[in-house]
Amino acid sequence: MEKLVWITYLTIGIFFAGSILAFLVGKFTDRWNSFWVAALTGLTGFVLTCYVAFNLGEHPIVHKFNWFTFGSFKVPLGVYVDSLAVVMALIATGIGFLDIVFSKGYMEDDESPHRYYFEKLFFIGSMVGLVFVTNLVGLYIFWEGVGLCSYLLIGYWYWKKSAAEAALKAFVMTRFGDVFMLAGIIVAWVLLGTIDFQELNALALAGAFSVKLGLLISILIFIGAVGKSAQFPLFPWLLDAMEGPTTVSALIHAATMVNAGVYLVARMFPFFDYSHALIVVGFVGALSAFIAATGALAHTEIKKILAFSTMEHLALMFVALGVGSAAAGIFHLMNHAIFKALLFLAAGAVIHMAHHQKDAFKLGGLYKYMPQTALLFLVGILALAGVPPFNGFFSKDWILAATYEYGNPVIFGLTFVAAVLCVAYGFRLWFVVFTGEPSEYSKKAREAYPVMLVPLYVLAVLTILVPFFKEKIIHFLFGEIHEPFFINLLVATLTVMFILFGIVFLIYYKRVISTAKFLANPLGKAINDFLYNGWFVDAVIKWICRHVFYGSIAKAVEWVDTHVVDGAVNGTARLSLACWDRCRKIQTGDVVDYLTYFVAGVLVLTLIILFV
Amino acid sequence: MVLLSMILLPVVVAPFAWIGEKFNRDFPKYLSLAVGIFLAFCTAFLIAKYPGNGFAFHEFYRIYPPFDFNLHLAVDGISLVLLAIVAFLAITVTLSSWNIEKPGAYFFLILIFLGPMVGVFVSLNLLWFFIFWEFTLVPMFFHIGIWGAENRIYAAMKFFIYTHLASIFLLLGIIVLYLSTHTFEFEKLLNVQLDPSIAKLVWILMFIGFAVKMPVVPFHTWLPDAHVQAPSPISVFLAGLLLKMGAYGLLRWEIFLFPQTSKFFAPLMAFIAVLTIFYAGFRALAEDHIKRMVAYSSINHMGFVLLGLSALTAAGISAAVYEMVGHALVISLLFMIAGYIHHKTHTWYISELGGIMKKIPGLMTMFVIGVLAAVGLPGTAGFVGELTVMLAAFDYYGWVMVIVPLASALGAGFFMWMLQRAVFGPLREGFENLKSLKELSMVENIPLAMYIGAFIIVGVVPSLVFNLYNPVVNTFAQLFQ
Repeated sequence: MEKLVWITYLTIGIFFAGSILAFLVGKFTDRWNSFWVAALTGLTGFVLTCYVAFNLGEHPIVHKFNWFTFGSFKVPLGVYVDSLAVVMALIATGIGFLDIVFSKGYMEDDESPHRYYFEKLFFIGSMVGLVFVTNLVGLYIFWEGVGLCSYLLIGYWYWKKSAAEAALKAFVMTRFGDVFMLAGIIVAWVLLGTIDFQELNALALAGAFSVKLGLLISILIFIGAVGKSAQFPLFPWLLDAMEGPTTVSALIHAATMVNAGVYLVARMFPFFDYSHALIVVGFVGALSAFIAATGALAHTEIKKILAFSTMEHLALMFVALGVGSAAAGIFHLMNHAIFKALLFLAAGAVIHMAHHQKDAFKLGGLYKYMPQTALLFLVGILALAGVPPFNGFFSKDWILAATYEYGNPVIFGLTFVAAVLCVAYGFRLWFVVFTGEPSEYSKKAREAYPVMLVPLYVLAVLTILVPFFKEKIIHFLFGEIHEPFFINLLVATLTVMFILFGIVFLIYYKRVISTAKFLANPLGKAINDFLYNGWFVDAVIKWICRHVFYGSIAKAVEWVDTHVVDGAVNGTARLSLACWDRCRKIQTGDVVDYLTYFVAGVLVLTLIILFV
Repeated sequence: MVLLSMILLPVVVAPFAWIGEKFNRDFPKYLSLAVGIFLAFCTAFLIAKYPGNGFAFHEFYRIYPPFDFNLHLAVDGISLVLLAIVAFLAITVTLSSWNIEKPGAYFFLILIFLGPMVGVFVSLNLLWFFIFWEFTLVPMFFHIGIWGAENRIYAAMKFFIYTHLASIFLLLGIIVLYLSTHTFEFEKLLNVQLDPSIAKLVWILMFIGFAVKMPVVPFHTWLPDAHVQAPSPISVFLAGLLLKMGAYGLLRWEIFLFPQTSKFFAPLMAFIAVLTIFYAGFRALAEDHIKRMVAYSSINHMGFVLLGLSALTAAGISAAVYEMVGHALVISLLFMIAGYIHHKTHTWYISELGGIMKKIPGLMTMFVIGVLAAVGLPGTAGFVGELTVMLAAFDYYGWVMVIVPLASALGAGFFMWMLQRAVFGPLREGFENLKSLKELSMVENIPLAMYIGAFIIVGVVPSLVFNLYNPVVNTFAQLFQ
């Protein structure tokens, strides 16, 4: 086996080995020793990924083997590492490592760090596996693996009712998407004869199957991506996922796992393109972006605002893919991972230091107590809002230009509104948390520990540095590529952003305009509630689960099972008992009775013989 | 001699378990464990020496040649897999019953259960197959009736009468088959051309017998009652072995023997299978009784087995046999833990449980792993089983089978919801000081760890199972072309 191939396998394997080791070390020695194992594993994994990245030549690293055979089916597995995969892996291992370090401070009061680090390393390993595998079945395996870790980590504080419910919702809702994806994989496997990404894409480029079939497979697979990447309508789990530790939200529900759906579409881009499925991706993305951006504007909890924002940015990536610009989408994925990890971790520092107060409006004036965190948070907000020269600006502007070029007014309109609203909710959040009068929670807060600040600084520096390497990164990922540019669009975007910033500045910093009047109005309140709750999609899904699946179908089956199916079984028993009871009465023991039956029988028989 | 000794030894030593109890209370369980290890060694020996294809290790004992009634034993790859399950479960069930009451009688019944159980899977004579098949019923009846819960007599009777009634159909089928062919021998029957209408009659009669045993909707209602009343280790035998007899019988004595008739009835089997999968899934969703929920999930998995069998291709049959292995390991674990939950909290009902993870994290972690395997998480046998069955079914039947993966979401629904309510969340009032709510002892943990280890190994390296019988299945699959 080639050296690079086994290093690739080692990169995946080291995290799983490290996870078990971290658990055992933490369980049998001092619990916090698991941190050192985890940090070392994370660093080694990152270094290995870097090694793979630097040694990745023109050709991708490919290695395939047969996992098992049954009947006429061979189930293949293997790795396929190209620039896209390696960038995804760098994000997962790099941010993963920083997150592990940050957790040392954030999880300081935790009782079972070994469980935490076990699940975290298991997650990073699955994520690296997910981006390195060569086919759909391999992807599905790790896809479920990251889903499992997400479930376990959302429910990390499992004794809280809300955490247990949030974990359940995350698992079932993403699973619901996954089973469609599984169906899509099976259909592709049987009807196209392959599940290998490169082979599927090659078939699509050669036009070897009908567009209709391709569209169907694409949509089935895309439903899985919608669930994982929290797009309309399978997004409510992401908001509830904020029940988990903030470090988990930063890594899994902002920087890495939720990108898996985007990655999958990018990986199968030629397939989706040929099947005319991209327009669906674009529409779902645009609608989700709009829902999320307006939701973020209405919400009051720090983490949920950021969750809505994550959903919005994932949606923007889908829009980019949908309008045919995979490069813009993946570039934004990378930028978003960095600044969103920064924002979430900074938010984690705030929440941890402010005694777990998550409601932004119950904080305030924190700048005075934790200036470094506040400034780092601001860097994240600037990138999120797409202010030049931070990294978010470059990718978001590219997406807008690509959408504009594509020319669909609905997609462009929704995307544009969503993109500029980042400024509004971003600065609203920052002003509310860090400026104004300090609340009682804020007064107790102090600056975050160095172990938490260092990862934040690293991420902040990356946020500023990435734009300088934009050309190189894009070239590494996609080679020569055309980037659309419209000066009037750029001017318009910046102008609207500036106006929105001005409004937010007046409302939340200067506080000369109040939103109270708007909220006092019944219509205003209704609109606010509608947006706050993400268009009540959660309520609708809950209603369907409770009243259709459970209340109607399951209860009906239960009734049929008890009364009809089992009723028939017990009825047979009762029937035979009743027969026995009746027949028993014939046996009176009286000779005269028996003689009567005898004579009657003989008579009947005689009559039958005579007349038939 | 190996096969005969595997059948006879457990039965011959069984009385010693009963007698030995009077001298040493521990003797029966060690005897049972020794027999389990003996079976495991024999199976390992057979697997090691198995040539890879066809029947091997033929043993032929004349009983009454005029009626072709002879004890003909042999194994192929499929029987080997099932023998491995028998041996594995013999050991785990013995360990799980370590502190059972009345151990003499209990292990006596276990031992006389194991012999015929082996016989069912290695007999190539249809009449002997039926004799062994019926023999397994008796110890199981007493196990449920004596060591069961409150309503045990009802459950034992229902179990016995229901499955016995089904066996009568099976027997009728066997008689009709014999009258038209004058042989009970598998290899002779394989080459007999039956009149199509008689073949259909025989097929239907035998199918009823097997379908009740598997069980499939609508012949399933004996199973939840039997499981709920049976002691947990016996539930393991019930789910892990007894149900497998139905699936194995269907495969060996119907699908392999009557390929054309099976092809005719394949859509019917597929329909029943899909109905079973969804029906049991929704039924489990409405269930509050934790063991009953596991029982319905067991039926749901047997639906997958039938679906695999109904796809009359090498892929479908291989997948079904694999799913049998996965089901035996996963469901056994879940039944054991459901029993422990009741033992420790004194309640069966999910609505009366809550947050017990906090008190017994070790046991509940195993429960979570088992549930994840049951919902088909990759890395466990559950995933490979479901994936291969779905693939084979879609391959054979086409677009109608695209709905089957949705059932997998249903499974996730009821099981994960159960976990959220019973295992996670705040600890229920009154559980804080409950003395019985503590972790298991070492010897109780061993079988559970064995199940988990086994279904992970088999799930990560599925070729361990598939390679045993791939050639066999491929050979038989040619019959369907």
